[in-house]
Amino acid sequence: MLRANNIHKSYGSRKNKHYVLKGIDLDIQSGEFVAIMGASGSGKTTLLNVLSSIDRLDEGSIRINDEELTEMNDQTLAEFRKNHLGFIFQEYYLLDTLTVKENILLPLSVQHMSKKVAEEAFQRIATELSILDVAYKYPNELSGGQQQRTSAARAMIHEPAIVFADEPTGALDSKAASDLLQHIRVLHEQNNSTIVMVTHDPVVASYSSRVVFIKDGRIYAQMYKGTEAREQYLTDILKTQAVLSGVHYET
Amino acid sequence: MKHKQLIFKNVKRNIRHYFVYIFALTFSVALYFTFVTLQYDVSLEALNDLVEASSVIQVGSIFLVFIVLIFLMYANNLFVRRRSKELGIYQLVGMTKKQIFRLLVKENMLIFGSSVLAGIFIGFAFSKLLVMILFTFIQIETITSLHFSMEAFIQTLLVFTGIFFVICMMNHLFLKRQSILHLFQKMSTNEQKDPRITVSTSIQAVLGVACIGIGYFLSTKLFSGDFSGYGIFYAMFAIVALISVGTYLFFRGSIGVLLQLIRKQKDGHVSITNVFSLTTILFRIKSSALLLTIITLLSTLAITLTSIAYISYHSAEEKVKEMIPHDFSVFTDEDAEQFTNALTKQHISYTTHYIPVSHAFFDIREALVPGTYDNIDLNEHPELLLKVIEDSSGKLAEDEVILTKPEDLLEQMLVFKDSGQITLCNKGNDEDLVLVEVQKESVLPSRLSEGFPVVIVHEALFDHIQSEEALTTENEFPLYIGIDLKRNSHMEEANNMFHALGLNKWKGIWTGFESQVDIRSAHLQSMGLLTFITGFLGLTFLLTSGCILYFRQMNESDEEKNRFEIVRKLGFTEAELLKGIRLKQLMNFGIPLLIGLINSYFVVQSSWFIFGKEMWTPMVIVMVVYTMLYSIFSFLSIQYDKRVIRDSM
Repeated sequence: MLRANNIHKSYGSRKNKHYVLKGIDLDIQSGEFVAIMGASGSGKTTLLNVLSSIDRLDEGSIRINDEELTEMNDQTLAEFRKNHLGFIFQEYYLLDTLTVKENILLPLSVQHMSKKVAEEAFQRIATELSILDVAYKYPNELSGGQQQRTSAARAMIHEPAIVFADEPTGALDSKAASDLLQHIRVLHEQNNSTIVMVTHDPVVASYSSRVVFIKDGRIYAQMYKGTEAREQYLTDILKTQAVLSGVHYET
Repeated sequence: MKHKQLIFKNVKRNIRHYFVYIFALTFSVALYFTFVTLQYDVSLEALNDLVEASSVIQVGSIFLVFIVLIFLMYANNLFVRRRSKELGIYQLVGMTKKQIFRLLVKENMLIFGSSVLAGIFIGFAFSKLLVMILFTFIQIETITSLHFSMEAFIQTLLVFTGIFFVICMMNHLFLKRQSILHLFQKMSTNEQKDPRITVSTSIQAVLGVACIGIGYFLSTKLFSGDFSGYGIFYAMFAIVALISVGTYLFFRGSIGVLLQLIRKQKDGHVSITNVFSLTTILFRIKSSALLLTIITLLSTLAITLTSIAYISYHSAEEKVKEMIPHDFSVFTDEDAEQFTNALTKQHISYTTHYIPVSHAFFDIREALVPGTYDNIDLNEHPELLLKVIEDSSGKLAEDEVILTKPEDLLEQMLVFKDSGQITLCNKGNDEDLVLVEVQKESVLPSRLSEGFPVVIVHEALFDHIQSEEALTTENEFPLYIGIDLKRNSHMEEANNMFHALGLNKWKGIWTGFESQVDIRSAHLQSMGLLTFITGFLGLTFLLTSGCILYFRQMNESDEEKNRFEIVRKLGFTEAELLKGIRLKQLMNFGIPLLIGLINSYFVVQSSWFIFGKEMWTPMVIVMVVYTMLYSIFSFLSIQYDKRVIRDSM
C-alpha cells in the first residue's frame, strides 16, 4: 500500500542545516491503522507531511499504490491527494464559510460524481459519525468534537486509499477524543481503510493496530497490537515510551 | 527603546503594510494638488470672460476633498486593523492607550509629512502635463508656462492637515473602543455575519429592487410632461434618493438572498469554484454593503458626469449649426453690403441668403402629442408668437406649412405628431393650416426663433401675414441675411473682418449668434473645459474607487490565506482555486460596475437632451473607457490572489 524507503528531510539554509528525518523505511499494509509516536521535535509531523505529499523530501522514495510520489510534479501531486488521500488536522481546518454538509461534500465536488451518489455517501458517513443533525450548521456553531468529526467525514467520504491524521485529538478534551477515536475505529473496521495517525498521546495511540516510535529522525521501535486487549496494548506503549524518553520505571 | 526608535523600526519593518497606505496618501495629494494648481493657474484666466473656469474647478475640488477623505479613512481603517495585534501587544507589555495613541499620531505625522511632500512634487509635474492636455482639448494655443503655485501649495497643506486630524480622531476612537482581547481577535477584519436569510433581509431585498425600479421608472418620466415646475426638481431628488437607497438595500439584501437561493438549491453539493466565489461573497456581502454602495454611486456619478459633458462636447458642432444656420448673419442691407464689399475686396467668394422674417400667433396644440406640453401651459395660453418665413422652394401649397424643430429642452415639451394641423390666429378669423413636415435644419438663428419652431409658409400667405404683422407686436427683425463662405479656409480672415467692421453688434450675452466661428470657439471652450474637468473628476473617482476595491480584495485574500491552505492540502490545485477566485473577482468588481452603468444610463437618458444632440455614441464611449480602466483593478486583484494562493502552501 504505502512503501517509504530511506527518507531524508532537512530544513534551513545550506550552511545552517537542520536534519529532521535521517533515513526512514516504512511499509504500511492495506487496512492497517498505524500510529506514529515520538517526542516534540522528533520529526513525526514532518514524516506525516512527506508521506502525505504535503511536503517534499530531499532523498528517498515513497510509493503509494505503486505510484512514485517523488516523481510527480505539484499538479499531479495535488490531483493524487484529491483522489486518493484523506486528511484530518489538529485544527480541524474546516472552511468557516461553508456548512458542515458543504465541507464534507467538498472532496466529491471535483469527481463529477452524480448528486444522488454523493448524497448517499454523505448520508452514510454523516450517520456513522453522528453529525447528520448538524449538517446545515456552520463550523463555528459546533463543539470541537463535532468539528473534528466533520473533518473526519470530509477525509473519508471519497474512500481514499490512505487517511492521514495529524494529532486529530490534540484540541479535544478526553471525552470528545475517545468518542472521535471510537468512531474512526469503527469506520476503519467496516471499510477496511488505511489510516496513518501522528500523536504524542499513548491513549490515542492505543486505538491503532501498530505503533511506530520515532526518535531523532529515525525509527526507534515498532509495536503490533496483535490480539491483546487495548488496555494491555496501552501498557506496552507506555513502557516503550518510557524507555524512549529515558525514564525508567521501577517494576 | 524610545518611542522615536520604535516608530522608525515599525515603519521600516512593516513597510509592506504601510505601502498601501502611503500609496493612497501620496496619490490623493498628487491628485488634489494638480487640481488646485489648475484652479490658481494664471493662464486659465484667459478663459474667465467666457466661463467661470475657476469656480467650476472649485466645485470640483470640493468633490475631490470629499472622495479623498473617504478613500483615506478606508485605507487607514484597513491599516490600523491589520496592525491591531501589534497594538494589542503594546498594551500587553504595559503601554497605556494614551501612549499608543501618541505613538500612532507621531507615526502618522511622519507618513503624512513625507507623503504630502512627495504627492505635491508628483502633482506639480503632473499638472503641467494636464494643462497642456486641457489647452489642446479646448483648442487654445498658448504657451503653457506653469509656475509652482504658492496658493495651491498652502491649500493642499491645509486640506491634508484637516484630513490628518480626522484620521487621528478615528484612530483615537478605535483605540478607545477596543479591549486587548478585541485587538487580538481583530486580525481577521471581516465581521462575518450569518448569511442565512432572515425576514429583515428578505424585506431589504425586496425593498432594494423596488426602490431601484421605481427610481428608474421615474427617471424615464422626468421630462415627459408628468411633472411640471418644481415637480421636476422634486422628481429629480426622488430619483437620486431612490437609486441611492435602493443600491444600498440591493447590496445588503438582494444579492445575498439571490446567492443564498442559488446555494440552497445546490443542497450542500458545492463545487470548489463555488467555495471561493459564492460562499465567500455571501459571508461578506452584508458587512461590505456600505462600501460597495459608495463605490457604485461614485461610479454612477463619474459615468454620468463624464457622459453628459462628453455628450455636449460631442454635439458642439451640430449645436452651433442649430444656433446659427449660416457662417455669418446680419440684419440690415447696409451691414450686409459693408461686409460683402469687404469680402469681395479680399477676393473671398460667398453666397448670400436674404430671408424676410415676420411673425404671427399660432395655435399648434393639434399637431402635438397630447400630454407632452403640460409643462408650458399651452392650454391656458394656446397662442404662440412664432417667426414666419416664406417657402423658397415653392413646393408648399397655400394651406400647407413646414415647421422647424424646436431646440434643446423645448424639443421634449413640444413633441410633434407625424402629421397634423396648426391654426393661424387671425383676430377671430382663424385659419387652419396643414403641417406637412417638421424639418431638422434650422433656418434662423436662435436669437430670432428663441428656440421655438419657425413656420415656413407659402408666398401668398407670407405676404398676408406680413401685411398684418403690425397688428400683433413690433417686429424687431424684419430681415435676416445669412452669408456663407464658399471656402472654409477664409473663415478666420472673414471673421476678423466681421469684427473689424463692428458687425458683431451682440457682443456680450448674445456673442456668437452672428458668427459661427465665434460661437464655435466659445462653445468648444466652455464644453471642452467642462468635459475636461468632469473627465478629470471621473478619472479620480475611478482611481479611488478602484483602489478601495483593490485594497479590500488584498485584505480579503490575506485573510483567506488559511482557507487556500486547507483546500490545497486537501489536494485542490492552484488552477482550480483560481477559477473560483476569478468568478469572485468578477462578481466583486462586476456587480458594482454593472449597477453603476445601469444607474448612469437611466440618469443620462432622463435629461441628456438638454446638453446635446446625441446620447448613444458619447455615452457608450465613456462607458467602455470606464469599464476598461476599471478592469485593470480587478486584474491586479486577481494577480494578488494568485500570489497569495501560490504562497499559501
